[in-house]
Amino acid sequence: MLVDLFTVVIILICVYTLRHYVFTVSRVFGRQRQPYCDIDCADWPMVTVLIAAHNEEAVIADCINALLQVDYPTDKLKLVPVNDRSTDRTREIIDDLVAKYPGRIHPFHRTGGKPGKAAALRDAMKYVEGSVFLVFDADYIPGRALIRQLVAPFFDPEVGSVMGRVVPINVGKKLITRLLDLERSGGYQVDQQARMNLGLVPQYGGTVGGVRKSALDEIHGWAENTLAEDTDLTVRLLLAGWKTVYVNRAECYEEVPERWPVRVRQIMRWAKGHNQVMVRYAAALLRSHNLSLRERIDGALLLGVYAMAPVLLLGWLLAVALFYTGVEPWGGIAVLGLAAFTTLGNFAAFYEIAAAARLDNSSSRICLLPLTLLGFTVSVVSVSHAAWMQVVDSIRGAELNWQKTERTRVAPVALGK
Amino acid sequence: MMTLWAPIMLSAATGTMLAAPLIPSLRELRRRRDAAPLPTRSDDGKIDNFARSMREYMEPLTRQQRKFCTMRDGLIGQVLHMEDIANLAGTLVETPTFAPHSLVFPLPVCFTHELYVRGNLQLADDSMLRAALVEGDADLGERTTVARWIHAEGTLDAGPHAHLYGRVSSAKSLILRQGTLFERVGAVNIYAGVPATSWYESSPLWKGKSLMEMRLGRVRSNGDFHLRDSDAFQGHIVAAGKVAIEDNVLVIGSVKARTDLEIGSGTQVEGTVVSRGRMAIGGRCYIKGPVMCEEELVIGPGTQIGTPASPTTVSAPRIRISPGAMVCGTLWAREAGEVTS
Repeated sequence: MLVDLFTVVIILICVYTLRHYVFTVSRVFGRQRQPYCDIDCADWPMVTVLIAAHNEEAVIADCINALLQVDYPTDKLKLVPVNDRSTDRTREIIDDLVAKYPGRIHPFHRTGGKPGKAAALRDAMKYVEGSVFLVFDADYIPGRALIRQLVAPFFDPEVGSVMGRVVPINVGKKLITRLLDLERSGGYQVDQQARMNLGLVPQYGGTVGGVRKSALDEIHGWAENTLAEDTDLTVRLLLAGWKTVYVNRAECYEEVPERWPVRVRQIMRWAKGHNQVMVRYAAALLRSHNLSLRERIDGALLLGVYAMAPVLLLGWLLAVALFYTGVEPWGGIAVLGLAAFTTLGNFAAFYEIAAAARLDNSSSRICLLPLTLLGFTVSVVSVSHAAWMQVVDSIRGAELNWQKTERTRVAPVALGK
Repeated sequence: MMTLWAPIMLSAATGTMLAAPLIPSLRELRRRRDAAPLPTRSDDGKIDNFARSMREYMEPLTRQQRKFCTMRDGLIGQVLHMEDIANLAGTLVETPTFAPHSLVFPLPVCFTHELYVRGNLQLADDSMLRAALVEGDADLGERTTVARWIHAEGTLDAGPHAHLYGRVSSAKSLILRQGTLFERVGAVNIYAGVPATSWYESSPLWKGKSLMEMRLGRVRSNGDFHLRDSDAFQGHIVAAGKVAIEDNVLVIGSVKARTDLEIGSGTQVEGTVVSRGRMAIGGRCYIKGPVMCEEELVIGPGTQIGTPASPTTVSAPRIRISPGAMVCGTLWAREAGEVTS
């Protein structure tokens, strides 16, 4: 029993290790697919930009001011700040901007209803005009060309959602922000772009992205009862025959957590949401006849990403148990498996980060790579804890609660325009 | 004594070996040499930015109106008048150059630095430009080479067999003669071979509307998709295989093929055309656009893509465009484009 379980764990670890290597090699040496980045001239459609805000007084003005300066036909751009039950000055700041720029901003002040971004977005859909809407979190600062870059892929009739690249703005603050900066680089510059290159399943990330309204209608809108509305949307669109594409050049600044407890809460929420989607759709995804084999496999692996942390911990425990119980030949193989993972396997994700730093021409921040082990350890423990809590909660029948990520910005940032 | 030092030395050696890889990390953490946010794209990528930068760069010459002047980068720039052309020491001009009026070069000339002309520019055959901004019309001679970019506020006529690397644009019309090689080209009207008139007029059915705003159905095919001669189709087409559209078909919608896509002569597509493989568009077609192809794109004679009122983008790694075709907007060959002879 232990041996069988250990075999499964080792196979899973090997599969994910291989996945990391394939992505890194594709990104560094492969043909890069960016088919939509050339579109600079077209009959641009009407676009609504939803800015999700819950107690965002520190950041909301920066985001709206940046959106007011974007290079997109003004008559085809509708800005909708979704003020979701804020109790701070968010409403006042939005209303000041509405008065300052008449006709440009159409706020939705949500005072009740179910908590959570997905529920707020669902209610905000009645404000959406046009065939495409984009979603930004309030701490994001879009560049001038960003809206056009995110809208361009929607000219492809197969595209249901689009994801841009998130770049941390508060990098230099602390060790945690520097580690998260490297992690984000690996995740977007290598992981997402490689999936785009290989025709796999890039993921809609919930912000700095857009959705085709007709595609969303086809899948009956946002799922409310989820902590990861972005992953949920990616998978449901995929099952309905809509693709998600990633635009690496559509870069947008965001603020990353500056305190470890905030980061732990954030990643636990992501893990719970992701696992929830995995349980709901993994089987349907693997059975789907509308998808290619590689899409089905990659989609399933994408859904299993956060389940790997507890699997890894289990593997370590099993390896130690097998070693000390001396089951032949597994005692030796267990040690070998453990050693293999903690050298080559474990490092696969770090190769991604190193490749991303190289692609970003980051000369010195790559030196921080050994310290990412700290972030990795925190993530493994937090995600495993989240998975355990999720199992316990499902047995108890408890509901999952949305927890907002704390902002630390205290003054408007210089936009550098 | 020995028993005490041995474990201490062993621990110290082990600790040093474990800590050694962390030294660069800790140094970077303390010095913060690379702790700024990654730069994101702040410009909108428009040709106006290049033109504005050029005007700013040339400002010392345009303001002082002296024969020679030191530029911001330390280079010596010169002002060139029509009467100076006969006195040019050779055909090689190795300074940033500003011409307050039109220039006509009877002999081949090679500008290795920026050229800014506040008038028209006419080059002899076999000339070479690095980067040029022309406030009037630009008439490039046969086999002219542009190394980086050229923009004309008037009409730009690239001579036959020109080599246009980088960006080429015009605020009005741009003519790419036969045998011309190009990369990124932008103008309200881009003519391949000879200037033609925009012949297409959209149906009043969807005039003034964006096709993306219209609620059209979508047909998905897990294999190939075929529309026969003179068919009419309303809706978007997405095929996992090849798409073949025969002659004189009307498609009110967009078309996407995950492999190759072929469009017959006289066909109209009132939407986007996308292919992950090769794409061939026959003669006398109309495509509203954009047109995106991930391999080679061939555009037939007399085909029009976009309209002057609704410019669009044509993009592919390799483009071969036949004389008589017309594109309104941007024509972007990421690797190589050619006007076929």
